[in-house]
Amino acid sequence: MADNPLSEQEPVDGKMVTDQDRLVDEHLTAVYRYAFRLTGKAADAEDLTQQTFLIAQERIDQLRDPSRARGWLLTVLRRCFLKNCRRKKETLAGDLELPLEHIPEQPAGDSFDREALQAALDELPPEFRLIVVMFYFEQCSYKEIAASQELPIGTVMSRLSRAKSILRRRLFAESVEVSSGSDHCSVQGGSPNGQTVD
Amino acid sequence: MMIERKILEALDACRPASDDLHSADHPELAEAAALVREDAAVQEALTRVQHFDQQIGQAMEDVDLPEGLAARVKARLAAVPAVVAIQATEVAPVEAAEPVSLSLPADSTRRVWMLRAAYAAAASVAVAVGVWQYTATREVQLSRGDFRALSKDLHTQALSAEDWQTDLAQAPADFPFPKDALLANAKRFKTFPGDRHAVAYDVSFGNRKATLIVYRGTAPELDVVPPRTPSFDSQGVYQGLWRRNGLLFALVVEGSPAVYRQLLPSNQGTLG
Repeated sequence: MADNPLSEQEPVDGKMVTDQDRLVDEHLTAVYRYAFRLTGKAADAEDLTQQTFLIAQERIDQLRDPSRARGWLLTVLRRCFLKNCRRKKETLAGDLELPLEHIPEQPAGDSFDREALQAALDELPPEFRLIVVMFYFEQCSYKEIAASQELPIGTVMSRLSRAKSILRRRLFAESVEVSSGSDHCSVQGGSPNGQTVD
Repeated sequence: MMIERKILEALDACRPASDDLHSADHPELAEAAALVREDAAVQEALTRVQHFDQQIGQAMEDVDLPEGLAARVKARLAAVPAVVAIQATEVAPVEAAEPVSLSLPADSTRRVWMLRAAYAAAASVAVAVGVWQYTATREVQLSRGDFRALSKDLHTQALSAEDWQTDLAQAPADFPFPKDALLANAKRFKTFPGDRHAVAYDVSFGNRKATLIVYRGTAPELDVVPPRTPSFDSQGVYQGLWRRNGLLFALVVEGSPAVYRQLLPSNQGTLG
């Protein structure tokens, strides 16, 4: 970034390019994808993306290290998302009383269907969804998530595991069996030869 | 095979393709790491978790961008330069990449004050150099999405401003209130100095906040009467957009579609 973050840069094809334009060009894809995975709807994702860049534009003087722009933008986005969620008073985490889960040995196919994944993400309360997206999309460790969200490490680990259990159950619904109990998890799944591994 | 939930939580906490499980930085995972070494079943569980994580991680970024998104974002950013320029010089810097707060203009007392200052300063300059006369006659072509975003932004900023004028006779004649299109009456108006080419009319009623935004520009996608069905966003803001005689209009209402429709004549068109 330039010293004056709002300064115009060298003209490109006769048009002045601002740092904001450059920020959008470089990070729009990541910001929108992140927003889409959090909101699950294209329109909401676009709103959230717009909101993120607007706030980033207002606060761009806080970004001193351009190499951290992506992470900074995603931080802005996360806070916008949580703020919007509080406005909407969406489902609370208390709804997540999970049955014990099974982990498939071999997920179906080589990749997930994008809509199935989004449908599974949409089942999660926003606070859980955010942790999952931070874990997979940003590859944040549970400690980094805890620090960012100001949550105890144990809470993050628990929420992450429970959220992943929901994803596993949702994405592999056909092969999942539910067992009972509260302190133990049954790790089962269809093996390639169709046998169940206990 | 049964494993303890806390062990599964530890396995689930390991990032894909990482060495988190064996890292000294993650003592919370030490017990699970030991079990992975000693117990084939736990090792098998880890393998499955990691396989699952790998696939989820790949699928997570498989999202197509909407066409024209970059242009819409840039257009919206370009619509708020004056406020940003002033604020950017006054917000105290913080640690490298951690924003302090994310309040939008309506949410912060400090920012409301800064907005007032920004508008006052910009208005003075505009009057002095005749910018208003120039910009007010300049047309801008917008897409429906651009105008929706812009009018919502103007609505938000207008409601947080205090430089409304109650003498409607003083409202700019080239940004007229569309009496024939609405049941609502304007209580006051507000101009947006600088590069905004817009006037907001306050049509709030009861405890419902509503504005009518008049913007000089073109948007060929819009019809010439207000839609009966407004667009809406996740924050409960409903907007109806239309165009007429070289002006764009946005009725922006907070509440519900019913509140929006209360401001329209019953025989209004049913577009939208």
